[in-house]
Amino acid sequence: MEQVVIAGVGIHPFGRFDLGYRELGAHAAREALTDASIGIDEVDTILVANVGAEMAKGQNVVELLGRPGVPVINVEAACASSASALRLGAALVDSGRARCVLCIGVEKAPRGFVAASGYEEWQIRSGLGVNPAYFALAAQELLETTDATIDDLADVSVKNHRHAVENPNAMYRKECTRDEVLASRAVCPPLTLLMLCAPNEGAAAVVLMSRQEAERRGVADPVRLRAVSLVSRSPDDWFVPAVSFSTARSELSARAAEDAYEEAGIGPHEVDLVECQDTDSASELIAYRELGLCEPGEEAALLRSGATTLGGRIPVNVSGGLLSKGEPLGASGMGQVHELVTQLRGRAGRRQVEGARVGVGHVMGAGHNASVTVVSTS
Amino acid sequence: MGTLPYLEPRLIASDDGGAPPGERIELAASRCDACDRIDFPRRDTCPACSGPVSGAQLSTGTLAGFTSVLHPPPGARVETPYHLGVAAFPEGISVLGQLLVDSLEQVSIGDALEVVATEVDGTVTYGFRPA
Repeated sequence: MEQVVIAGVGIHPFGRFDLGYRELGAHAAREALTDASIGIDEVDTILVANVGAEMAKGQNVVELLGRPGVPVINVEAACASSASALRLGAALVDSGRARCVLCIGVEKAPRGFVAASGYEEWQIRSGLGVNPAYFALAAQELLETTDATIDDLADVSVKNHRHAVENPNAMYRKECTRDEVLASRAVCPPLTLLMLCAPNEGAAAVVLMSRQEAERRGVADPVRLRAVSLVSRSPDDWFVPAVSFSTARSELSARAAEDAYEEAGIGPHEVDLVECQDTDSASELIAYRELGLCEPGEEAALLRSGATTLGGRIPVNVSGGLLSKGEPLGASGMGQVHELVTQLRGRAGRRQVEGARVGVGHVMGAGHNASVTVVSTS
Repeated sequence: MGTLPYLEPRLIASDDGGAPPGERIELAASRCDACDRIDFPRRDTCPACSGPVSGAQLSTGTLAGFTSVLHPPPGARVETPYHLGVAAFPEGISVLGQLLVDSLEQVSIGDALEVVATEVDGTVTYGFRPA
């Protein structure tokens, strides 16, 4: 994608609010349009990522912005909904089919366990349709097959919660200690409540343009969208809601990362910061390996070295991650892009990654979807 | 206790309509005639090579992972807390199911498991029990 830039970003903080999804989405969209200095009537196509709202949800969000009369397309792929919308938007701009695309991710998720993750009725009735159990099994495997310990799992939460203190868009902005994480309520062992992210509400939006269009408009601080990969299930992948997997298992996020690095022409060693799918603490450590930040088996060592903490060599989830922001399913990926763009523009305040030029976002969702996004300053 | 009907008959290899809880049963899998790949639940064609498949049964495996569910998930007809395990079958497939033990203290990775019927709300489905 030689020609696609992010001309503006917007966000509605993640949390719990007395607002409907329409207002949340419209808030983020207005902020992105203002940031890009364009009006809703100058947008060619609008893509709206959401998992659980209702029929024609994107159209309902857009109604609050104006009546531009352009295509509004709703996109759903569980936690990879935002990334899917972004990929479609980028393809439209890259192909010349659109000059300016508004991508909105929005969610108002119910509290508690995420239901309707694609399980069949027999799985649900027999107690197998439990998302955190899947994360717990992956966590246990990490603890069994590497030198990672339960303390490392706690320390991922400690790190991300510390990062979130400086992020006004995060839901939980309080530091916590390793002991607090370990002593919090057990959900599915070895995972405790503070090692898991909470579904919540929020929205984020991104304005995509061709580079020429951005130049013509004199857009300040455009960020290049270098790649948005997207993969679905291959024969040997395993994630929610599948009940079985080939014992010779493959990793879908690793494949998404490979595709994205190849398209971007950028290797993991050139990345300055990462926002990854820390649905739970172990997921972040596993993502270190899948995204090529470390060799298999070195996940915990990378964390312990401080490399992934703000100020380290390759900070991960300086926004606080999903563990601190919460996860508004359809908006989480767009929220990552908001953070990466804010960082690349040098506007992240006290959570700024010094000299950030290349950022990577990563999401993985139910139904076997994974995406890796690469953005850069030039 | 007498025989109970299967919650989801297509998961179970025997076509006897039901089983008493605790009785050994076999999972109904499929094996690809072309590439030998095993799938559970049984499929009409191979998801890897699209080849035709034949029926296969899974009956004993080893414990590859386990956890517990401590808080009632939406829609579950199983009383919490309960345990889940992944059974790795020598045929090359690993399956998630209820792990029928009182405590996870009783099990370790690598333990031999057998497939048995377990009650769910007046029906039976498969579960795993240390062999």
